[in-house]
Amino acid sequence: MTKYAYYPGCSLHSVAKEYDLSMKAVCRALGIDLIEIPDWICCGSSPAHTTSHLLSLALPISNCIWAENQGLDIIAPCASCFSRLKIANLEIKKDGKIRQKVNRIIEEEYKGTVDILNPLQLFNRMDMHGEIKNLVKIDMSGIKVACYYGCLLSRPGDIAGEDDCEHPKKMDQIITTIGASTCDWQCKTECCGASLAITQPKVAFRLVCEVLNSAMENGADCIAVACPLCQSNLDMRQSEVSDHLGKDIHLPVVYFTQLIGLAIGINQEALGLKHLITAPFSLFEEKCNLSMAIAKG
Amino acid sequence: MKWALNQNTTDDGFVARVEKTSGQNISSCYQCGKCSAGCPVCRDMDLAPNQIMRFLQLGIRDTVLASRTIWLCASCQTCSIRCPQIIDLARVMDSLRIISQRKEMESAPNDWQSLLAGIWNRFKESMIYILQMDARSNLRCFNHIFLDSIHYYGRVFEPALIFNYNINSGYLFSNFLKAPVMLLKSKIKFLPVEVRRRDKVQKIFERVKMMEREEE
Repeated sequence: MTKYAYYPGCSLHSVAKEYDLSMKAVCRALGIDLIEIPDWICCGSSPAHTTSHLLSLALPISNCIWAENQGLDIIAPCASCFSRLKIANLEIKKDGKIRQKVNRIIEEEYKGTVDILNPLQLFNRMDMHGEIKNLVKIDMSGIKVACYYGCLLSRPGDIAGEDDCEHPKKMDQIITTIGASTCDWQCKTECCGASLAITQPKVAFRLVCEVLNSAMENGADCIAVACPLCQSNLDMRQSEVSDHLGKDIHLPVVYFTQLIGLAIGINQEALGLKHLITAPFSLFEEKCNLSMAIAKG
Repeated sequence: MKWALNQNTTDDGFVARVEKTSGQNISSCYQCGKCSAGCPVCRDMDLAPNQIMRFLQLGIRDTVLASRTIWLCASCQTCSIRCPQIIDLARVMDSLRIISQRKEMESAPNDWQSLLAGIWNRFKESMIYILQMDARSNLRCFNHIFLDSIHYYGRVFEPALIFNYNINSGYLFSNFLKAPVMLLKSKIKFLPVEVRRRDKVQKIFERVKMMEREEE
């Protein structure tokens, strides 16, 4: 059993609880042991890095100490948390002075030996593809998925771990592994504007329209995401987007872990599908011949 | 558009300060415009990202710090990965926001009285913002409230975050209509989780403030 420290972040305990549920369920099925970091604190996200550089390093690093003491790497499913943890770790490894400063702030001795992974990297590790493939029970071939990476899972390349940040492939590879087909579309790395959703709703709305419209036009049945901010931003505004574009937009925005879970036949209740705002049930019933009575709750 | 360059409009030290804060070489920008071409929010900005770079090179501080652009940047990093001169433009935007917010950082709360005092101060500020309805004030206000939440609880407590933002920004009913569906899908937490090492979090904020003051 492979063990990892688990950093859920604030979103996975509230608006993205289905990501938390499905992530844990899939890992359990794959024999990956996730241990939640005790008493973790918020990574600071964008408000920290746009306000104070030191704060944007100290908050994430204070969460890595426990993992370092246990000798574990950290899995951070939220794209924003992942990015902040990874950036802070890289900066500390590169610059000894910064490390001293941060250690003074958090009053502990952090060496920087922890590696930070997002679920896309975890499930793309060499052995994982075969293991997922062996577990697949449901025929997902009827579904066409638009894999959406957004900003922080594709950029910058050295942080996100993608070889080509204009054309990332990790999620597409996983979705292909479970037997579903993926679509080529131009918005997979476009920004959805989630960081502006509260402060500049009009700007964010325009970006959401572009992404949803592009997925729709390229024949996607659903959008797969790996970021709670993208998910809620793309999922919540579909009725307004339909009104604005003058066409009916009903595109379930599911976490890629939920798709893996469905394919490998995990108990549907454990995947939290009922928490999605745009209901995905009829899609799975039609295209995968699944009975979704349990998932509806 | 005409810009006068003289001692009143330029600040020679400003470029150096931005370069130090961001770790980026501002002068290496040769105005290819790739950053602006790829920027998803460029059309809503008053100065395009490449214009910000040019103004920085010329040391026109006030125009840069007063622009809507630095507050509209979504930190999506498209500019940073496409720059042929490997300038991390998103980091430059961060530095500009940091520099313009430095003074406001001072008033972060550490007990409930100062938390209330902070809310009252920002309420007064927001009365001015309401008249402006402006990108600058919105994001600054959001940043403060978000960081206050971490400072106070150790984590973000979304309902309070949205409530405080709506009150402080003047957009009283912003996101109001989303509440029923969020409740229906049980995506809202009713009580904040208080982290046990809360005092440690507060110390982190205090020490960061202290060290930043030392550096200046």
